[in-house]
Amino acid sequence: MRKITHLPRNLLRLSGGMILFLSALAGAQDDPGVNRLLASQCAQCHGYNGHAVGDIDGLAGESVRELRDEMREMADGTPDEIMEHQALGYTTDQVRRMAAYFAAVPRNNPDPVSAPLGEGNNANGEHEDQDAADEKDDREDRHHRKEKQRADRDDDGDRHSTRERDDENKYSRSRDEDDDEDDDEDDDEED
Amino acid sequence: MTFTRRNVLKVVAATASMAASGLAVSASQHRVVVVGGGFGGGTVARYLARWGGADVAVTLVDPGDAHVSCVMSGLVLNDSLSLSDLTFPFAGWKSRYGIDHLQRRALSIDGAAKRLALDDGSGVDYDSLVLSPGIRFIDVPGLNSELIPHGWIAGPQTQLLHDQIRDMPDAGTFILSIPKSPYRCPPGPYERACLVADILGRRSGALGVSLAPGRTPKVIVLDANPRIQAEEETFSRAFSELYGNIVSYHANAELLSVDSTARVVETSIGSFSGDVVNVIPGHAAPQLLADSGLTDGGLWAPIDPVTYASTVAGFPGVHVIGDAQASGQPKSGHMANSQAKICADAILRNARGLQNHTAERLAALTTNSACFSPITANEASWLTAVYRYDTGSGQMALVPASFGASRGWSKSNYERMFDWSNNLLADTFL
Repeated sequence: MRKITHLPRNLLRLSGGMILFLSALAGAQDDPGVNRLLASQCAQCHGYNGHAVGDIDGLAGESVRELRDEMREMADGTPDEIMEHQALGYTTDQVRRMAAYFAAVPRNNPDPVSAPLGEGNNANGEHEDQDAADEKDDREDRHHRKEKQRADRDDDGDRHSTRERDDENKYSRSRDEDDDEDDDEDDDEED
Repeated sequence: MTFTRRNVLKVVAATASMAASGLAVSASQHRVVVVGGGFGGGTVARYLARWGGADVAVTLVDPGDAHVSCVMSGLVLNDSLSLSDLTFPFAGWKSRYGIDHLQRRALSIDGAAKRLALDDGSGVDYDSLVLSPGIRFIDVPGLNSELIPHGWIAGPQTQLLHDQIRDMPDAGTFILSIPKSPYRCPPGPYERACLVADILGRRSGALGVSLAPGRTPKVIVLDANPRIQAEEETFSRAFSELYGNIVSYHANAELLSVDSTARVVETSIGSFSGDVVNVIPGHAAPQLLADSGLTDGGLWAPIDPVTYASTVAGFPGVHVIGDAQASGQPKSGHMANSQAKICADAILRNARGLQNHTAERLAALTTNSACFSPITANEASWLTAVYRYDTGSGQMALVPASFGASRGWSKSNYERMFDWSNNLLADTFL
């Protein structure tokens, strides 16, 4: 019998560096609070800040390109699944904003954000143009492929899927590690 | 998947250190009082605390010490879940999010003084007040819900209905009275009819089998509405095929009165008696809202869906979310969660002097609904929709292409139902 899972959530705080990092991934004119609000509407099914429990896809740390492409594919054709219907409910710009938000949420910390609204709102000067964003997508894709290969290699036959291992790891970092701005890159060395 | 003990312990360690860091209320903080710790209140309180950080002081007012989720409570009736599985205590919110809990009932609102009066004679001052009080039931002549359960606010009523079903004769009659829309959880009553038919059908051996009339249980559905209100194709088929010998569905059967002792209901299409009678009365916003004037003489509280602020004059800083508000979006826990995030964002922007009605934010206002309904003990259906802000009407409007339902029911939907509910419950209460 499946059970309702009571899972306490942690409450780790975001460093100033992460706020800048989050803002940098948004479009040049985006109000980051608006992107956050849009992305929060995914949490009912995909977990707080995209950290899902169970077999629903997590969204945290997915690259902008991955999220955009997945939503585009799901919106294509006759809808048959919940997400195929949901994907038809959002504009291209809304999807872009959600993707920008989730791409900046660390996979190992479901609760990085206590960023005051308006802070860093078009004020940090670290905007990326589309080429730079795509380049970052490619970098992240490579990183994720590498991460998966490493996970597969490390699989010791305990029947844990990669996703389950990710879920186990996501709460196990120290606060100091979570505060790193370039968290994703650090994972390579830490793991 | 399950969470290992190791994980839970690490999370507890992290939250303990957060609590130690302290979240003392200061004079510069924006004081938000949230009435009701259900899907709307739980979400708005926790998202305010998470997004607002030290800028806000959040106080929950709820007479209970926990919320019992209506979502998934249908599975308590067939013993697939227990009420304890669906009970979410408020106690941990202080240490995890710094949310204070006043275990009191809210009595009245002084909109001019921005003060909420509580049932112990005290009061609490607010800068913003979020009302997420759920529903009240409209009186039905003769109805005593201690004898004739509604089972529509999860908790003791769910247990009472469970026990009555457990104790009824194998070939007994179950009556279900469905109120006029809008009521909370549009597919819910039809799901209940299916689950009860499944329970009684299995117990009597009548599931899919023709037995003598005296040995076949009956589920009589008396719907005040002209037709099935959600997933009509799915439920029509379930009633006629899966439970064809057990369920009889009657539209336009408006409830007039109840004899609670004799277990008889009088309706606009006649009189019905049963071994168990389940009357879900019509809904309205709770008395607190009606008495204060926030419903403006109607059943529900009118709001601006850009902020969920009341549109009734004299209540600055008062917001209403979830089932009690009048925006016309479906009344459900999932929707209340969805609305709560827009409300939390709006309150924080107000507190920080930012505009809410910017073109950019209006273009980003969406809510969504998704829900699963068990049709049998191990199969489920689903229903989903996205709503978007319409600048012309100033209301949330359904995006037609996003609206859809499963084709029938399946075991894989049943499994996915737990993934959906676990995420929704975690996002709301944990």
